[in-house]
Amino acid sequence: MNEFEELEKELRSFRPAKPSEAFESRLEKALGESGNLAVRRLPQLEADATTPTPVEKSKIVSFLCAFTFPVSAAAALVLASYLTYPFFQKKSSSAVSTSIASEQSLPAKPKFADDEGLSPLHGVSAVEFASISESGWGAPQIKEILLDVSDEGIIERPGSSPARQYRYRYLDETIWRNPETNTIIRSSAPRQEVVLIGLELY
Amino acid sequence: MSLTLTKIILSISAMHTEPIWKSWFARHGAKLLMFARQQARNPADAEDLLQEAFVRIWRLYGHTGEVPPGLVYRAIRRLAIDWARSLDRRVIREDNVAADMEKNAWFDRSMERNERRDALLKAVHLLPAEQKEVITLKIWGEQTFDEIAKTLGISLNTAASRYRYAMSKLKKSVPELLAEPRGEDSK
Repeated sequence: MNEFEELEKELRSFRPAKPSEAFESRLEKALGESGNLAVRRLPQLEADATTPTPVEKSKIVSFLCAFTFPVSAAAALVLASYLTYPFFQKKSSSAVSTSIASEQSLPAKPKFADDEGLSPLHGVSAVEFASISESGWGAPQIKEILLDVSDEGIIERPGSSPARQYRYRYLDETIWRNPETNTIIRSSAPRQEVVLIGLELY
Repeated sequence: MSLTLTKIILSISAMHTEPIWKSWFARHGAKLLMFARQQARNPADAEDLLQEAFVRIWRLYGHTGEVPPGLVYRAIRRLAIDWARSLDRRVIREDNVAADMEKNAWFDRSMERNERRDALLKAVHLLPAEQKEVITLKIWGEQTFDEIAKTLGISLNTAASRYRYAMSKLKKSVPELLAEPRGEDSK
């Protein structure tokens, strides 16, 4: 037992004098706006925004696995093709240009300005790539995956009516297959599109 | 993440009956002011000290809605040291006199009074300053020894031993004060 327990109890019975009202209003003035504003989470929202449940966690993990595995596989394959570039170059004299994809055979219209985007090597066009690569490559498959659409609210446009801004996030995916060598090259590139829809003023 | 951010809501004073700082200050203000009175040389300085310390801390951390009182105690202490350094010695002497007269204003005057309580109060005021501040922070500020050590810039052991010395002294001096003839005090 604490030898000073009684004394502590006695001392605690003295209540410190409260600050005067005049002092509090002085304090209020000195605090200004910072005294009137505070960011707080509402209790019910706090409960909603707690750490993810095990089910949510497993969803996140499976999403990450599903997303990161193809991307890393593609990166590895692109690197492998890049390293074997000199080998392809030697064989280019007997190049098989027939493997080049035609525009018509594509499942979706390419989004790229030139055909460089169809090549798995940055800076090398598809034509060049085909001329240096092995035969047997099929037409690239292009997929446009819509990841997310967000409404970013109304924005002001100088000299024009306000507009509602939507942001579309895509993942453009291109897959090259070579059935002869059983090789697949997959390339993914994120893309955003901002769409403004003009609003009528009343 | 964006979901979490969207769930953060700005609560403005209009949504509450009073701003958050007022309810916080209602809980801790009296204790802080008592500590400030101990650190300052006169009541006016004590209020200035508390105002300066509280406003500084609230502007930094007040948006969270919850501020640990230990931060304000520490700010009061540091400001008091800074202000003392900048004061002229003559002013300090004059202020010490004013501080002696103010001692009885530390506590709520509406409380029940008796001889023993008066003697205890007197004994507290007679304690050396470094013991008095530890007692104040521990008993009325409800701070832990670790927090007291941080506020006063001393080790945890020093804080604990100062407390023990102070309590032993109070235990001993209250009966002595009660035994003293009452002529001097009643004047």
